[in-house]
Amino acid sequence: MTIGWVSRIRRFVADDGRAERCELCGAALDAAHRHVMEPHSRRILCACEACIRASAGGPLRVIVPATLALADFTLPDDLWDSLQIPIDLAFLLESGEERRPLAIYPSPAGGIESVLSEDAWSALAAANPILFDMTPDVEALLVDRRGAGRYFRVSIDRCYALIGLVRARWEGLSGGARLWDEVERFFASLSEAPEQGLFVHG
Amino acid sequence: MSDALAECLSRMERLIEALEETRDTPARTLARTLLDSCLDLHGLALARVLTIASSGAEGGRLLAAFAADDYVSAALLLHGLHPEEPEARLRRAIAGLRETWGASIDLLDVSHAVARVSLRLPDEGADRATARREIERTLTEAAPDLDSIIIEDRAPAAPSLAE
Repeated sequence: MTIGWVSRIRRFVADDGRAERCELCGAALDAAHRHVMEPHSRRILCACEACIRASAGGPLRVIVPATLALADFTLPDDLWDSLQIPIDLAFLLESGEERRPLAIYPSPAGGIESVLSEDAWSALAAANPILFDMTPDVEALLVDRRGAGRYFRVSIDRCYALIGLVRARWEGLSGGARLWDEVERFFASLSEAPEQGLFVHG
Repeated sequence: MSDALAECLSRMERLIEALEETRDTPARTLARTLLDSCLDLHGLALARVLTIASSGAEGGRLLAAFAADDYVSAALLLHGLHPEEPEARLRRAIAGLRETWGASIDLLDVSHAVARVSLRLPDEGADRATARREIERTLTEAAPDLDSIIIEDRAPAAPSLAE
């Protein structure tokens, strides 16, 4: 049983193959369109340019697709262990007005959120001041500690693209070789020009 | 026969003809299998409806018996006709989970088809990953009509970093 089987069937039936629509006003959208995040529900919505302009200063956060490899990022093992994230792949970000530090990691059941301690986040930000520049809710630190350790500053749509990938392709106990090949392709795509990557669907 | 029913039946007839004529065999097989599963879901639910209805229950008790049956409940959920809101179903599931896992678990809110749940598992005892998976599965089964159930895991206090 996957999350929301009813929701999944309804979406499948509703998708009539026509152009995508702005989820705020219903206007037809180009295939390459922008997205906004509703911070409370963490839902990412497709949006037209008019709605994006109109939502400036409001509760919706505009997502600017971006990725940046962080070559000099440092995350000592004891600090990582203290975050208690059960897999070596996670997104760290600050959430909401109160900038609550949060980890989101992929699982076969979708994204799992884990509240981080303020102390651990402060220690991490002190060692890596780039974290102070990140916009809450819509930007995250992507941590990949499966190998030597890779770190990226990414827009939140990337997080959900990876979470969607893991949820859709996970097989057996450890995910399966096909999944991890796809995850590698995802990481390769992070090096491509961000303008081409308006992906959030799927 | 009502217009809506006649229209629905003739639409199905036209689509079946189109599928019979298509040269795309894999697509026809997929469509047939999907329709077959859909008929199964409704067939099983209707059989249970007849059994429950013949028990003599009436009004609210009959409705509650329908909602408590897995098959009928699934069909009602699929059509957005379940008498209980997702929030009420989640609250009931959470009450059961608290007892099973000794976890501190609370429904934070449900809005726009997204539920947020906070979870704090006991430090010792059952394997945390297993507990999490089971909790997720139970919540998802209770509210499959939600787009997403976000579980915020409140881990126990992190050890000091100053060591």
